[in-house]
Amino acid sequence: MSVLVEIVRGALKPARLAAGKGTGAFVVFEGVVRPDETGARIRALDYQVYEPMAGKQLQLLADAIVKEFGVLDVTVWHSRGRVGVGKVSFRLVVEGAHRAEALEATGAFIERMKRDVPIWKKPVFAEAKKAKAKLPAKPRRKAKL
Amino acid sequence: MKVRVLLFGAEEKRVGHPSVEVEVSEPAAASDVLHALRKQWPELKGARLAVNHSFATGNERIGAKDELALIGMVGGG
Repeated sequence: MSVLVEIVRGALKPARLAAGKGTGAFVVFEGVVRPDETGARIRALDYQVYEPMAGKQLQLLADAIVKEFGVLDVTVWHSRGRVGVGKVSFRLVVEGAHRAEALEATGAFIERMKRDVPIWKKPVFAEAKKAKAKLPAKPRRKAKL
Repeated sequence: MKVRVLLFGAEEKRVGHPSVEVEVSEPAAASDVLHALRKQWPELKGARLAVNHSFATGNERIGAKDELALIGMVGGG
């Protein structure tokens, strides 16, 4: 059994994954940045990570999932910083002897991560660039109220 | 004793700073820090306190050298 946790800057690169010895089910979940957030179009997400705690919590969570669900291996990558739309910001690989525990463990990991791991995302709106470009060259006068 | 508490996400945005300082009487527990924080910044209600990168229980003792952080709603993935 093994657990690996890694926090990397920017979008995750495609991974070459291979099932380990004794694996009967190999579940790969990838979180991808959607093009909209609360109804508005976005260009990217900025991930703020409290790194020492996020790394520790991900490790504790992966260890707990291995014990609780009896899966063989859990590997986690999460981005920090800016990740563009359509890019991968989170990858979870769960290996088990059978699909039932591997699928259950995958769902449980994600649920708990979204509750307990200190990572926040801030949308970078598509309109932000446009609005900046429209700003006048000279500073605006304050409107009299 | 004066303790510094790191802020992130919505809590950082609400207060406008990445950290705040509060005064607590010694010996201090995690619940004392939370109480002092919420008294000064009621908008920080609902967040959990982490001590040295782990979520703290209410009666956990706090030392001057501990790293404290306020963890509100998170959103990884």
